[in-house]
Amino acid sequence: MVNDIGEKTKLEFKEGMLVHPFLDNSGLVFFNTQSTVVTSIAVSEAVFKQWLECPQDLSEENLKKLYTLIDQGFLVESQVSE
Amino acid sequence: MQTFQLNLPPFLFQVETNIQLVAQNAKNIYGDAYSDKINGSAYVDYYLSATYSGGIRRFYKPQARFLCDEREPFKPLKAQQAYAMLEWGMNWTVAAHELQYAIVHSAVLAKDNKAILFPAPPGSGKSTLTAHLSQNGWRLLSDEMALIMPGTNQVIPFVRPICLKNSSIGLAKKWFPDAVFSSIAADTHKGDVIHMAPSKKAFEQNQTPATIVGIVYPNYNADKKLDIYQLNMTESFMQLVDNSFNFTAIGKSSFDTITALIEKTKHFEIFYNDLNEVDLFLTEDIINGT
Repeated sequence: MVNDIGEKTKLEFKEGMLVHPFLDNSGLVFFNTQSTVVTSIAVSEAVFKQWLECPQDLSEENLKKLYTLIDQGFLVESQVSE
Repeated sequence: MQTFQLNLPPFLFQVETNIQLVAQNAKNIYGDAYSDKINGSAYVDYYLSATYSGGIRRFYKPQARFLCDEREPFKPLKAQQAYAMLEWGMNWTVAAHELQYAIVHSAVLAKDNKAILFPAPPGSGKSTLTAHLSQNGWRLLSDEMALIMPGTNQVIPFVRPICLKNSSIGLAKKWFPDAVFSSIAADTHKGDVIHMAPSKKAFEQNQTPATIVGIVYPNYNADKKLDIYQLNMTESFMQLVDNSFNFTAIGKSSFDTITALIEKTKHFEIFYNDLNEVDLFLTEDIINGT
């Protein structure tokens, strides 16, 4: 599952999900108001944005974290236009 | 059957009981907030009852039932535990129904109107710490729940007795000989339980909000001197949400309130065995430092 991300794939926040990056750069917190799942990821907002732009460059461990957020409904895959 | 009202801002409870232990303890613990002269024109937030279960069982193994607006959230308990059941029932009532506040399972104490939240699971020593601080210069806002005004870092007092368990009972009675205590509810699911009345000062200021300046996650450990760990905002947020009663029910408002609160406060996890050391740390590093 973790290695099947396409070369032209990037990730985006799904509409309606609540996300908050903390001022101390300790991480971002997520709240899915429909499923009521609350979770967090311990990276700064800047780093997380890079992860979304280029998930292909991530280590397997970090990619797993993104897939967890996809499974929880916070992120969706989208294709980069040509 | 006796009926009394408990005026515990921001709520007014009306309680019906036929168990003398319940009315007597409520009167002792709540003092002026207790009234058996029913104010019919006042808006009652919740109608509660703590009464003997019916049937023949009442004569050989009496039990008590708690009802909130005709709903029965718990199974009956032994009749000698009825007052503790009423207190737990009041906690349940507020936690299950109130959506205008972000509610966190937490003690709340303040100095100079600067409040610290102590969210903690059972067994962390929260109530013993609360009892100690409330008798040593801190204002008790709550032993059980923080009512946070949405969109602010203000916490509303909900002044209620402190629930002490097992070995804490003897300690509290020794430390605070002048305090008012309920009768003991023996052998509950939490062990032996007693309720300690808030100070008169806490009741007098029960409509004065305080500004939250710190969140401290306490862990009593008999073998540890004071160990203090500063938490980052993400860690503190996740712990606070774990202790929230209504976070998911309120949704966006709660998320916005808690994230904003986290950014305006200091966060620590502490391990301790000396309450005076904790008091000093809280006063110097959080209250005086903000």
